[in-house]
Amino acid sequence: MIVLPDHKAFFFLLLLPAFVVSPSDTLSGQNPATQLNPDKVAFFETHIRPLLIKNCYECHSRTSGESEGGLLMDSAAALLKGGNRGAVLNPGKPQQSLLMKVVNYRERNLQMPPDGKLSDRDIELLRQWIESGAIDPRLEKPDGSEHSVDSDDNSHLDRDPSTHWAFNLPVLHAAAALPHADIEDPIDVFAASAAKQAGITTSPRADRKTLARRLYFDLTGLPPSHDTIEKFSTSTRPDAYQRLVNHLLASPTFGERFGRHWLDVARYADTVGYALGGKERRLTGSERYRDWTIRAFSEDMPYDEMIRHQLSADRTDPRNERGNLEAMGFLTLGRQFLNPLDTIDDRIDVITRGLLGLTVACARCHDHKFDPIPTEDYYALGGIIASSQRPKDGASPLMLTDKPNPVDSPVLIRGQISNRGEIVPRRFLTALRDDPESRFTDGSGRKELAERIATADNPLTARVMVNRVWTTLVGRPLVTNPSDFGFRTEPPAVPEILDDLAKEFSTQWSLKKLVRRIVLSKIYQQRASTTQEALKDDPDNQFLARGNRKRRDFESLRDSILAVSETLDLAQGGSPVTITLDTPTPRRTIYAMIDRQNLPALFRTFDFASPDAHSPGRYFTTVPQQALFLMNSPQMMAIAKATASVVRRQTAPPNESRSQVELLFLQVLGRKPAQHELDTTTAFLKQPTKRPTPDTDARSLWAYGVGKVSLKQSGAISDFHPFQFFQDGRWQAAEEFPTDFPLGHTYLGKRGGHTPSEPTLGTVRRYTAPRNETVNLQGKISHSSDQGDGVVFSIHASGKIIYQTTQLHAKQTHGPHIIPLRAGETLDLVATPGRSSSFDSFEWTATLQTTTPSGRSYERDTQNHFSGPFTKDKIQPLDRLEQLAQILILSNEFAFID
Amino acid sequence: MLNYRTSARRNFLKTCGAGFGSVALTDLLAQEGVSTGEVPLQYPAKAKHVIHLFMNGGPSQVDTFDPKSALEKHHGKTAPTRNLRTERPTGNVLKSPYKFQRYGECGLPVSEIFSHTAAHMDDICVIRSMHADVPNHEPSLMLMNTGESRLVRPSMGSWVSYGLGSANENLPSFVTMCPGGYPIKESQNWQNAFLPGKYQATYINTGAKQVEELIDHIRNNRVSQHDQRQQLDLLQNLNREHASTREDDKRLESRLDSFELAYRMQSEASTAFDIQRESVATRKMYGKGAFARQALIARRLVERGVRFVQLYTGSGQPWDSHDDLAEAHRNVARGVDQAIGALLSDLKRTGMLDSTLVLWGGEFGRTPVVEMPKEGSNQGKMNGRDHNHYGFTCWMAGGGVKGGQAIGATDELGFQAVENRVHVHDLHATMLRLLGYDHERLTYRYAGRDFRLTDVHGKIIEQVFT
Repeated sequence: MIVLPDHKAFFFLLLLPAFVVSPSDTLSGQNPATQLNPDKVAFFETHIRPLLIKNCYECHSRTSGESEGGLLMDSAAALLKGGNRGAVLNPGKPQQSLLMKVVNYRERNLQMPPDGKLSDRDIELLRQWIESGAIDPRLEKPDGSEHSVDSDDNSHLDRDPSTHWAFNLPVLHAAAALPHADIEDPIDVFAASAAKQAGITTSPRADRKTLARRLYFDLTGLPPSHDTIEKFSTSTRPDAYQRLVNHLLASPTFGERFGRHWLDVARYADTVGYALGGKERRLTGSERYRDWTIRAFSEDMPYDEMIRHQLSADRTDPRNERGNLEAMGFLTLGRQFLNPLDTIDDRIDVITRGLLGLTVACARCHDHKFDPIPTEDYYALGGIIASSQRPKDGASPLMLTDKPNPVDSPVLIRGQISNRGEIVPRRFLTALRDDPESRFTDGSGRKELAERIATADNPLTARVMVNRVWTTLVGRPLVTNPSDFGFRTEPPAVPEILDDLAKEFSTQWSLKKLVRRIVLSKIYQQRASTTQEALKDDPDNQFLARGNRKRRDFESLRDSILAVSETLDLAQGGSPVTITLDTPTPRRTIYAMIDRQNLPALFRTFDFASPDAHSPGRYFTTVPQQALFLMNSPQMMAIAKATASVVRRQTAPPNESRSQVELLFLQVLGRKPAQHELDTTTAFLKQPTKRPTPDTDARSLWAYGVGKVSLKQSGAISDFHPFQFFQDGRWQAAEEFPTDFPLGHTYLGKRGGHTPSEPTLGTVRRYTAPRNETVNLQGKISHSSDQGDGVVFSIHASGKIIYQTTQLHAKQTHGPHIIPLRAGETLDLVATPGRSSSFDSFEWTATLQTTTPSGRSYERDTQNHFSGPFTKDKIQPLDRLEQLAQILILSNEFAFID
Repeated sequence: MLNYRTSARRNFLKTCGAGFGSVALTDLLAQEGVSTGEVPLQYPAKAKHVIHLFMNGGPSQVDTFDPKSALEKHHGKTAPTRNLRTERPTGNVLKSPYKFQRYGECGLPVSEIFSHTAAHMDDICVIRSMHADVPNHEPSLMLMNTGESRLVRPSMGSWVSYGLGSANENLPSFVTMCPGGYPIKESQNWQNAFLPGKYQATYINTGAKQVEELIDHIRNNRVSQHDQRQQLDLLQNLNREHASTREDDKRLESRLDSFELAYRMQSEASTAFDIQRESVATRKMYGKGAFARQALIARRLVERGVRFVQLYTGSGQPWDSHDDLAEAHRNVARGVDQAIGALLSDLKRTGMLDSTLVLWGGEFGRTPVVEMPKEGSNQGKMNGRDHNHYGFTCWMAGGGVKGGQAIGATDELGFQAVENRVHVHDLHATMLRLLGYDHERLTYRYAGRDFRLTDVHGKIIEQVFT
């Protein structure tokens, strides 16, 4: 859904908010009013704390109950205080710190840790830490548990949320006078002034052709036809652009495009994931949620209403009269976990990261490390979800209802079920709650939770959604972590834009209005190309002074390929379809079956969002597997042929290839070729082709029938009659089975068969060599009955008997036989009944390793390549026009949107 | 030093930005602001590749690399120590049906069913004190493969690919092979989870033998190589023209390159997977069957720069001998032992063993006591062993591992690890260390926090190193 430009969050350690510490918590004489240096806190957290926990706490901490030598090492104060032997630390002076002596094993009677010296690296880390002042943010609480600024301490939990930009309600900012007649929207004013201040020149609007392509891509995911582009770009109406925008917003394809973006947020899939014991994996009714999502966007359902339905449609539409119960798939379509706590976690995560941009799931085992989200918040939401259930006969399979007796959850200390802490009331998040005591009382509390999220009073909801929509349209997010608006996330470079949009959005919650406003802005319409200078001044385009070139995501790429080949079926909704077959499935990609357990390689190759958890944004990787699919897959071969045939239908000689090229460019790229493109491509069409060496379908090399065998006289098989009937996985002589003498029970199947009743007749499994080759044959024979006189097995090639054996109630492996064959020669595996034809069922399997004179090897296998009648895949090579169609589809011009 | 981690990453990003050139990198991947390129090594390391010989189903430690004479003594009697609770009810002590013999200069004892592997004991470091969390296949497979039993997390191969990246852009960096289908838990065993899709293993069903059946879209039967070359030349032409007015955008160039790479990959991958190119003697040395084929392919892959190759014994859970263990274990071992021995010889011969860490083991071991018969499964049989996560054996060889030693020990019967206990997390931490990573610092930022293969666990087994 989203391209994220920048890697600022990397440096979060450097950006750690300053921590204010109270006098009693400081060490080494630091001024209470000063702040702990965040770099040093980071160093402690990264290196020293884990080292102490690992090596020291066992004997020197309150949690272990041990304070050997009177020393505790689990809080800064205790460590500074030292033990029976006095101070162990001398901040700034490692040489004079007892700690360094004992870890270096320099004290004869005191060597720590006792069970083995620390690594040199660890010792060096300790030394550096002490040398730089032994900064230690760990605090001590009266109950003796270990606390620190960074993990367990309340100081950051108590931090006033209003000190973080995202926790304050967005407000409208006054825009300066419009700097240019070209600009109407205040957001453009904000951007223009910010760019001006930064000394960056803004790009002009893109040309109409570019804008048409851009709008189609962003609002529908599909390419505009050449006619559409022409009409739009030559229109003299002053409102042509607005009209096109309105037209696209009204198109059902808009709902599909934005619906798919939302499915990324909702970690949508059609299967539950792994199911024990081969149980059904299909998520019943999953497509109902997908279709509801599409409908909601198409009908411009207000976003607050969407949220209420998704969290509590059991209240908003309990009998599913308006089809809104399906919205609850948002909660119920997650992976199936064995542990119900994990299901709860999955739902907490999709609600909080998805709707609020808060990483509440971090607080499952400990208070949030950076945001004011205590563990209690997690279990307050956990209680809401645990108090919800899936009814047996609901009006929708996706529905949740309140349990008759909703209960509050205990905090699970460190996330462990056996370690229960205090019970927390079901209620909203601390940081977003005015009244600290307010609790949810209406059933599970899901309805109240929905209300607290879907309101203009929530500072996050509108901002998070606006940022998501902005990112898909503009190509770069305003807030770089779209699903984490916590304390570590910086406000946008031009914060007024997000505020203005969010403020307005939260009045009516109309997504179409939001989209319209953004695409009508100058920011959106700017040219993507820019100057080297602008690129240098603002490499990440933070100041929105130019457009961002986008690459087609998987859905848009696949849908557009179907569109230009005119194979796209724009039908809406319904059961998911498989899109990984050899022939292209014509439906839009949003209708593809998403198997989260074994997501087909095609999806992963093209960076589809992981259906396992909420996805804040898509990756855009470039790997050769993508190219292999586009170059070689049977689907793409069919697409190339279809595209070329569209063009062929419309052209006739003379000048055929010239007009074909022109039409092909129009069809695929929506423009005419330039003269030199016309020259090179028509030249390409004239080049002679070389046919591909056909790959042999191994099944076609085998035939099954009966033949006359005279084992005594010669090795030749005469009168080979292929079987005419294939039933129940076996070849047989007649439709009825058994049939008349002498073919009674005669058949050949995958693993074996039954001989005819006449000693001179045998079943023949015949291999025909496709080219000159040497066969290395190895086989396994088994005759299981202990009655009768057994079966005679023989191998014949080039008129000779290669091998012969009689088996009765026995198993036999044979080979390797090395058999040279010329192209067209046969190799027969023959089974004859011997004198008696009773009890002549047999198993005989063989593998043939064939090697061509040029050294290429192939495996031919009696089992793997066994088959009934089949139509041979008619392989038509691509001709030059089809090859050209493929190349245009593979081009960067097709894949990127300016 | 103070901000090693951030500055290292920053440098890394700079490198990338400056046109590092690799296809995967120039298209700077980002999610929640984090690049997903390679992570610089944190220690000098010998191991550059891993071959994981996954004995899925759980081989019995007391019948392979951890012989216990007490089993003879107590055979058929109640165990002197209480039977630990495993998946199913268990009964009296069951001795090993196999003979053990000492091998190599180190004199480590190995069961007769692993006689080929045994020839390499001087290169092998046996860890006899492995333990996991629960006696069930699914969570234990997840734990061994991803470091987390329940939640969806990246597999270790994905972590290694993410860290080390690819040493051969023409091949995937992480390959999983399993003949005839999937193991239990299927592709979750080699999932990338929240890491980018390219770090998921390329799964290969080695039931198939032809290259075109092994790798998706590696061949084209409708366009000849000759024509395809001309197609790509034309594509280059069009793309260069397109890029000429968009010079600032490196993504255009890298996508163009990716087609060239794919073109070359068609022959490179075909070569890598085509074991017919090996001499008859070499193929003979590996023996017959799918595992032998996999082992030989594995060697060819690591030679070509693939980072992590995982070989499953077979689909389902081949080592899961709840009954008829004597034959079942012998049969399964027969399918893998010769190939493993050959692989070790071969890696040694080519010098690749120094840079390739070979890891052998299952998701857990088996009980030294007999599993009680149960209707519908091992009905009427008292000759198998139940799952056992309290103690089991893994071994490592190559890649900087000190061979010829056994680390840790199980109790008298081989039920529970008691000495130098090594948890699966510790194995992971050690593996990463051998590859040059501090398991606490090979992290990936996702959903607001830094994730690790070892989560909040893991200690390095120092004794493993040379």
